[in-house]
Amino acid sequence: MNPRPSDSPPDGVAQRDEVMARLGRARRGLIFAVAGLTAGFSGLVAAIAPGKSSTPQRSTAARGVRTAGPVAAALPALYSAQSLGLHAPAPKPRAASSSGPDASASSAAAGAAARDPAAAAPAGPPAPPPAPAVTSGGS
Amino acid sequence: MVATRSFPAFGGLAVLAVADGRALTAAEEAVRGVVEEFDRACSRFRCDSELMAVNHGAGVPVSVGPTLLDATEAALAAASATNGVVDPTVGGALLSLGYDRDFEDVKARRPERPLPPIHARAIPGYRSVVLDRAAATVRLPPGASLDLGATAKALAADRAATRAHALSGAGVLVSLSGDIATAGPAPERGWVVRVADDHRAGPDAPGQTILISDGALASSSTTTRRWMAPGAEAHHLIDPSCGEPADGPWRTVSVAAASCLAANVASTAMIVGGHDRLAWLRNLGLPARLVDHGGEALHLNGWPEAGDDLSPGSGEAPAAGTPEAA
Repeated sequence: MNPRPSDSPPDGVAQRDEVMARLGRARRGLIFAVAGLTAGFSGLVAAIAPGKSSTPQRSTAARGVRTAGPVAAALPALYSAQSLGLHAPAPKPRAASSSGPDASASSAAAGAAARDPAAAAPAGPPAPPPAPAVTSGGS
Repeated sequence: MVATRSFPAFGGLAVLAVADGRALTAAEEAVRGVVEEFDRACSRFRCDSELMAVNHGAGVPVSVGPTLLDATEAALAAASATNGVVDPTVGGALLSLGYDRDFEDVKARRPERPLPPIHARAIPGYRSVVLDRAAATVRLPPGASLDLGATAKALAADRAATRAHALSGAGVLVSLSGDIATAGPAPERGWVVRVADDHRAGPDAPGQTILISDGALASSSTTTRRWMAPGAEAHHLIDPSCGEPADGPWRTVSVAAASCLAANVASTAMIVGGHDRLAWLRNLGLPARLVDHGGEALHLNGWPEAGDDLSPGSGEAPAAGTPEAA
């Protein structure tokens, strides 16, 4: 009987090690195979159904969801800058203190006085501003 | 003959004016209905409000009604139009600064000892809000909180004026805590409006009396809603870039626009954005009156100068509640 080398494992252990190594190789091969199949399948789906995306912004936009990121530019017409009312009212506000019953009449009288001082009506004190209905201020 | 009625609303004063006094009752019913609708939807403090549910959604979509959907969308549109200067996700910052209940209760609260400063939370930003109109839901990231103060009240004023005019047939002016909207034909010489730091100010407070015939008018001010926050005095107009009360050059800004929503968006943007926003405002062509902390008024885009107590050279007047007035 040949003597067993001192650095050789017992036969049962060697068998076990061989089996474990084969299992490891098989597992690695399986992982690569699955990855390859997944990539192939994704490519097939993208080719069949273009435009479907897994990114949240695009998918939510496709469902009519409004996110205020890049999609903010596509806000509905209800609330575009124009429909927000971000433009001046017509007519613009005017001062109450210089307005008599008819501001345009006051302007015309001033013009006539400039052309013919002799015909100018005597200047009186400016009319006090009317009582306000409401105050706009901070709250 | 113009008739008016006033009642408490949104922590301030609501004023309704109608060009034909016979329409007052019908118009008032319409306005009160809109006020209740918006309070139920958009109040940050009512435990039964939809906004309260959204702010506690913790990242989950929350079902909401059409009023809050519209109000949220308007707030997001305002944020987009101002490049984030007017941002509804400042609710967390307000909570951190102690504005976590009705303002009268905030003012009445007296800390027993000085509290250490609290750094306002970072603002998540309006882009983090997910509004799904098809599903009628609003989703916020966990920990985020909406405050619709810069837009909801103004939107309510627009809706109230439109509804009051539709129901009554008369020309109406609706003011909700100083945010003013009109609908229908104005009186012959226009609606007479006083512009001041505080919408509750008496006729002797420094300001200006103007006439408006169409559109809307809104004012934002750092002088009215102030309280002792941990570490420093605070006001309610938050700068989203830092989560702190805005520290710009204007104490009060009043803007006229086609809608009250737009006017309030612009007035808030000017308080928060300061001089950097002047070109934006000039480009929009919105008439505006801007009062600096020294009490001097600047008039832009055709806002009338006559009769302004705070025009340069007319004598400075400090606002109530500011250190100069003490």
